[in-house]
Amino acid sequence: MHELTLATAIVEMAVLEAEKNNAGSVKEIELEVGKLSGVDADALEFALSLAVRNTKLEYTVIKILHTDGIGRCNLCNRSFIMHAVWTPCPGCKMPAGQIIHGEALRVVSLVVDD
Amino acid sequence: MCETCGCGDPGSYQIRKVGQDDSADNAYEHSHPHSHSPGFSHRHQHLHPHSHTGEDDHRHNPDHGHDHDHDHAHSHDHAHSHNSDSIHGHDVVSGEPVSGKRLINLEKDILETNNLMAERNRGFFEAKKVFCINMVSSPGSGKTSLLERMIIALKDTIPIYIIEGDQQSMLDADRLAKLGVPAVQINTGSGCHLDAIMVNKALKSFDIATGSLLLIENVGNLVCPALFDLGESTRVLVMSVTEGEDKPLKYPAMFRSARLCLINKTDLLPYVDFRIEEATKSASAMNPELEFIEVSAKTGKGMEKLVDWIIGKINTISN
Repeated sequence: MHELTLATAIVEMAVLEAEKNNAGSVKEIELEVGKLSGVDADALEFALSLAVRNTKLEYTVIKILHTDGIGRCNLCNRSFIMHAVWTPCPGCKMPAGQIIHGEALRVVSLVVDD
Repeated sequence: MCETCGCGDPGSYQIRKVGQDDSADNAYEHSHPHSHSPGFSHRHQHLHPHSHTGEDDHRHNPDHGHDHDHDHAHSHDHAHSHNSDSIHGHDVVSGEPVSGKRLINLEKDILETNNLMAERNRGFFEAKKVFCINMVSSPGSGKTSLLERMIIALKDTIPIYIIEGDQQSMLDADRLAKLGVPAVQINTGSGCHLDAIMVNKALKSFDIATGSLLLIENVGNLVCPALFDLGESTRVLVMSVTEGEDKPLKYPAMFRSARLCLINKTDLLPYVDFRIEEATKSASAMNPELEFIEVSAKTGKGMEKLVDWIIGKINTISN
């Protein structure tokens, strides 16, 4: 289960950034977790709830953007929205989408309080 | 303890070279990212399991000499004491109460730390003309057996180095080291994948020769290793005929991330319902660039083709 590794990385990144900016506390953190990123959002949220304990992020509001993916079918070339890496192409019904978009795993922004 | 998967400390792992003296205090490379609770003094609990190839198990004293990396960020709302050899560098936050929210746009990749290190590994391999293979698969598909065959076939042609990844034990590294190649074992403890930082540390156990072959056997797991770039030259996925022809459909991320798929245990084809055409069809639909070689670590079938593939790739990078 790597969601805990990712949660720890998020907390470290945010805390470092807050310290760089002489911030007192982190009010909000916005994350982007693409639906095709290979990360389970629920597991990540749970992992974050553990990883923030006793850190500057303990009371931070965590917002997660779950971006849809866009794929292009390797077989029939159709572009389609992918909710998961196994989403079949609506045309040929095969899970043959080449991922164009939707794998992002990012800390988008922080709102900090001085 | 993590209630999702029952793991303890998510960040601690060990790196050991085969043939290294286990009893020395600084024989282990440790990693301990952790957070502090208020009033907690800065001592380490060594809750990680490890096995010894020597005679006796020993317990750790709380205050023993170790070199640790202390690269963890933490807040200073609590008092704590430091060991004299731990060095922290950070600014003290001023305590002035000012109300004013600021938006900091980060747009940073969460896997940035891993990916930056992966690129450093990659740069190192390019400079030393090292061809690095990251072998991934479910547990038990035959990675180690195939590596044995590969080592026997190639060790007189090219210097070979091994990095082994398992949760526990030196078994695999020992097994491969018996063939006369330098091997390092990474024990991830509760961890489920190798990452670029571990590989970078393990590389320092070798004085790796120019123009050599580095074989990394990842932790047996078809899920998590897909996310973690190690800096490898290529990723080889091993799938055995006992795992079901629909495997690619169930683990698309891993199949998408690989370059070569070895279909192993083909000697068992008469006894299982596995259609190679179906397996390759679904895998190719997801990853049209994926190449396939049918092999059997047991009989040696397909090994020539595999060796040719590897030599071909090596010749491409050295030109």
